[in-house]
Amino acid sequence: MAKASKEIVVTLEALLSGEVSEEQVSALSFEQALRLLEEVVTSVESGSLPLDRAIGSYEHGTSLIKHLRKLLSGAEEKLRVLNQG
Amino acid sequence: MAKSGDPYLTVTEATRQINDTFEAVFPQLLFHGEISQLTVAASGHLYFSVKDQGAQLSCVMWAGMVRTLSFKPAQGVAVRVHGRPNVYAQSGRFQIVVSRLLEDGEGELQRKFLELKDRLQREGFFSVERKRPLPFLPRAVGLVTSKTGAVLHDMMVKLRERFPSMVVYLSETRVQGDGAAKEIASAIRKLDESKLVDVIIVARGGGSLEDLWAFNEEEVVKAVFAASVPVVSGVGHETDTTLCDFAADVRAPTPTAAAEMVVPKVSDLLQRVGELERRLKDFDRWLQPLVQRVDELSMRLDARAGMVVAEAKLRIKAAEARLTSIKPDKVLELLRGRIDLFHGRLYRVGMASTDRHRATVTHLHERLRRAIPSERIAHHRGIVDSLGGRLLVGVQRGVEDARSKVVSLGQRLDSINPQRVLDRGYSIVRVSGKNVRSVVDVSSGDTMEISVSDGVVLGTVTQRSKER
Repeated sequence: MAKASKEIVVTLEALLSGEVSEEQVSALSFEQALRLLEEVVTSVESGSLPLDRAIGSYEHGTSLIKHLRKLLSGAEEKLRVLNQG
Repeated sequence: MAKSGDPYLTVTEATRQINDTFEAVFPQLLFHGEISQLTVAASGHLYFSVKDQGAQLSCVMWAGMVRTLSFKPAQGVAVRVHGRPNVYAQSGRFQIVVSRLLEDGEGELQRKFLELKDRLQREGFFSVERKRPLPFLPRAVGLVTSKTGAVLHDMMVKLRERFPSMVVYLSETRVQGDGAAKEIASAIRKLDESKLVDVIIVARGGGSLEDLWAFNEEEVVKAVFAASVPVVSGVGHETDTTLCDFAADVRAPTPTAAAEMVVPKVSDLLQRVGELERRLKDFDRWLQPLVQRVDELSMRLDARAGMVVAEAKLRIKAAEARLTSIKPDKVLELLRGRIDLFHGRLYRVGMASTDRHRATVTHLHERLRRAIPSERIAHHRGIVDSLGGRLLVGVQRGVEDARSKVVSLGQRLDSINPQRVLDRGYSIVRVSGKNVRSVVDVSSGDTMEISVSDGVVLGTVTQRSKER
């Protein structure tokens, strides 16, 4: 009875190596994007990344933040009624 | 008694006669049924109905009797009643004044509830293993409830408060009465099949076991179980339990609590994202390890430059020591050659290591330039430039020192060159290969070898004297 999950799985590795398009990032669920952002920030803070990757991380982190903010923003929604019958 | 001749009684008299008759015929009436419409009055009296499929009787139990009860009367509980029929004169209401009330096992509905619960449990509809976690942030929330009533309103208020832009779909249904279960089940399926929502709330306000009965029906349980997204059951009050609660992925105590569970607070999430953004943009913090590495390399460059100079000084000192200990003129040219060679090598070592360090510095410089925001670059470029400069100066100074040492050693070597002494008119006298320094070094008849500036003169000792 488990739901067939269609969620795209994006790893930190794929994100940092530039295999993930802007489009794919904007399709991430809030939870996925937040988890990735946390990983990005943690790895950047650890100082273990080579310089160019640290800079890349910064850019990816910024686009994740943009996406997360977008998911949280928006006007108040009206109740939508699904017709019976 | 009625007045003679008038067949009509007063209402009060009629009521009294009815009550007398009841008392005579039913001094004690025993019956059983199920409690419903239970009210505890402020006075402590208990008002309720006892009913079965075909009829119901209004009952009253005085407060004094209520306190002796061994169980807590509740809706749907089957009871055995001892009482006497009575018409309450003030309202004309027929009622049973209950003198004794016994619990008759469990009520019919309660029994049905437990039977169904047992069976569905055995069939796996309530199994804990299939409970799914709620989504962290659903794309949209589905509500299955009545369009009228406070429940929908209360849930919307809570959802708006937590996440104003959350999309909410209502799949409306009756929640009580004949056919309600079928409607509820179909409303759940409709929402699920729409694929519009990530979570479904099935909700209804509080009520009696009968009122909530639709949520105990097998159809509803199966629809909840079959849903492809998690279902939260918010049916009745905290104390009410329905089979829908058991089948759902999460049971909420009330509809409002269910609304609270399915969406996070947008302010919490914004704060979380803001915090991560602040950390990501804290360059000073995340560049710290890189800056430290540059510092480390700087110190290593300093140390290396110092070593090159120290090594040069040491080797010059050694050469100097060897030069002062050796005098013969034949060795002189050789020495001069070796000093030149050494000089050249020293110079090359200095230049090569300068080049190597210069390359490292250039490489670091380039990496920094690409990596670090421009205001930092300027700072680090300064450090690197001054390091490069210091390295070069250090090595060049070492080389200069060596060069001037070599020149002064050359001059000192020249000044002790024996040829120069001979050029000035002095001679060197040797007997049997030994330099003659004293009159006692020679005897009469010895052959002397006298070196002058342009050759050798041979002579014989004829006399010796300490007198000049």
